[in-house]
Amino acid sequence: MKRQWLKLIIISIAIFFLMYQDGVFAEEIKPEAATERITAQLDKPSLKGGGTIMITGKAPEGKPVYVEVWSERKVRAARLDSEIDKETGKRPYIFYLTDEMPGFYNLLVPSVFSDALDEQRKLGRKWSVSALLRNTGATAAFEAPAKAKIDRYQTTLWASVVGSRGELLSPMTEFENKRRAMPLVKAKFRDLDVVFKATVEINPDGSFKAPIELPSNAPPGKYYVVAKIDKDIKSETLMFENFISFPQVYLGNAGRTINMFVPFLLTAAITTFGVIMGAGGGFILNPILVMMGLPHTVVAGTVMPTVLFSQGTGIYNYARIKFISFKVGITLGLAMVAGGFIGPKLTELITLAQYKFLFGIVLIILAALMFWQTTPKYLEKNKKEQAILKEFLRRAQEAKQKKMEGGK
Amino acid sequence: MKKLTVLLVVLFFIACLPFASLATELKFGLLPRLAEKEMIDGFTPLAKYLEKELGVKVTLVVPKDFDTWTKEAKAGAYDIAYTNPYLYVVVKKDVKDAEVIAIASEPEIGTKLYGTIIVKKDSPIKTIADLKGKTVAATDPGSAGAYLVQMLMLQKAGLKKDDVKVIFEKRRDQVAEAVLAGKAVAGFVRDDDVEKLKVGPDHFRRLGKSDPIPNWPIFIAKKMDPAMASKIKTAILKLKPGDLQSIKILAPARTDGFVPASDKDFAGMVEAAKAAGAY
Repeated sequence: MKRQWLKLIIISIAIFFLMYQDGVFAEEIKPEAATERITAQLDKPSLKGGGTIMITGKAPEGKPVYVEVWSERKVRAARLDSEIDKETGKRPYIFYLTDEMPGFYNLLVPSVFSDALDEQRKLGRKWSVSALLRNTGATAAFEAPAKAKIDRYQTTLWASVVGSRGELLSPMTEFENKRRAMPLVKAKFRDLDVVFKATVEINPDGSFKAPIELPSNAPPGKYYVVAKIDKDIKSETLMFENFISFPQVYLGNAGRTINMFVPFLLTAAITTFGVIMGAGGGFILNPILVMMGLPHTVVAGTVMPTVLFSQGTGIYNYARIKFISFKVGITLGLAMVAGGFIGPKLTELITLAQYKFLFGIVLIILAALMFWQTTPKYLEKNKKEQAILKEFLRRAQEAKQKKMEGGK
Repeated sequence: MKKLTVLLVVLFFIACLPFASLATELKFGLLPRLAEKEMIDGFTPLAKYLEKELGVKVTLVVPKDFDTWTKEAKAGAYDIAYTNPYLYVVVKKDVKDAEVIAIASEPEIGTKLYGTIIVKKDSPIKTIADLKGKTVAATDPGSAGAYLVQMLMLQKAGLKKDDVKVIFEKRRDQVAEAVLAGKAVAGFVRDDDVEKLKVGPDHFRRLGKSDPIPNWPIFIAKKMDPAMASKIKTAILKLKPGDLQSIKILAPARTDGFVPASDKDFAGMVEAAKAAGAY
């Protein structure tokens, strides 16, 4: 009997010991919440005139990975909000402006969201940054443009027509600033595929990779890259550099790099042709520079001083043959001063599409006028004009003759 | 004996009749917080996912307004439903078979909502009790985060429902404007909405923040075959917040996953609805 008791006690002690070892009597220690983190690295430190850099890394299993890439170089972005507000039914006429938009910006999303990008592509020009961010779960990853300080101005229909920015409004909240940065990204980069790419490949174990593609017209300098899961879980900020060399030239106000050889040769050809027609060549140069991808605002501004050269030589030569009426010229010049103030601001307020439309209309009207002026009916009615032309040619011939005689 | 067998078989079929599993279609009733097209577009990926997981057709139903949704939910028109926490407790009160499955998680706020009471920054009102006899602005009598929880805050501060005059301004920005314009001395808004106010949050001071209430629940809306109910639960709870699969399916619906829930989670909501005399 005693033995039985002894066995029972030994077994009980053994069981107790095993249970103790197993931690049954220990205070329940909650496992520390697994620290979710994401690591990432780049395969090279720099690029020359654009190219591709690969980002690879490791994230927790089953989580989405977004890669945000932006340049250190900043550029201006502006937008006039004149769409009817659904809540108020009124057009707000608020002008949003920032000088802190990254010159280059990419948000790479997991490749499983390629459908979401396709959906937005189908909308054409009506694609929306906010809808794309929402449908890919990338709203929290959209940070670099959201940090740009955006000024907003209350303008009016009339003020916007004459190009006034209007009254500067109070600063926006962080939330509103982020919300307004979304359409500004669209206004600056225009094409969905320039900004968003569904190229992050994520494996079941959480490892991921994505190519970061920098076009040849991307700004030079430092680029920052962060891989993110959400607003809290992100990798350290990675950095690489993009180098450019002549004939590549960075245009700070356009936020892009261009090869200067191409526009140089084009301008030489265009100006020769333009001067033959008695114009500065700006009307031809303008759409070509826009087609090269430069912002219409910068093109409009840049072409103005280039025309100065052909205008300057033209004024000099017309003055020599006394064909300039200073009374008319100065009166019209004063009107041009007013237009010179209004025009640049108006350019800032309109979209590229509106700009192209207006430009096209003006060119069509001019072309029609010029064509009309070449018809026999017009020429018959305008004999006086022909006489003036003849007189101009005669005086030009005389001036040339005198010059040649003087040279002797 | 033969009669007894027939009777048992008949009883068995009768007992099975109310179960949704007999149907080849599940009606998914969505509270129309957005326009119908936006709701349908947003929830179609979830409906397709459920069809794949459950093997039955899932039809989205978006009634014209909140009242219609409530009536239809109470009448058993939906098999599963998605609504705000207040209307869930309202439906649950009448439909005993309604059973919450999960609470939605949103990217910005997670699974919980908080209400707050705002006053002008320089307002002499210092405490909630100071609101006695004053006019306050709220969005809607059925708003969980911008009316009901604040009524509970008032009750906890010793005020009765009739101690304040409530004006309803429909939208959070209109509530804020009413406070700024002096039309109301305080405004009831969702706590996370203060930062989103168009006039900016700097004009206001918070008098307090409510206890949390659950975010929007998804629930089985009527008596259902337990096997089907279990399959629905499993399918919904697979969509964990922040997972890639969850985001792919739920992001268009402005949600990033679901967490398990029970009726205990809605006790505070019931209390708030009672405080507002809306339960």
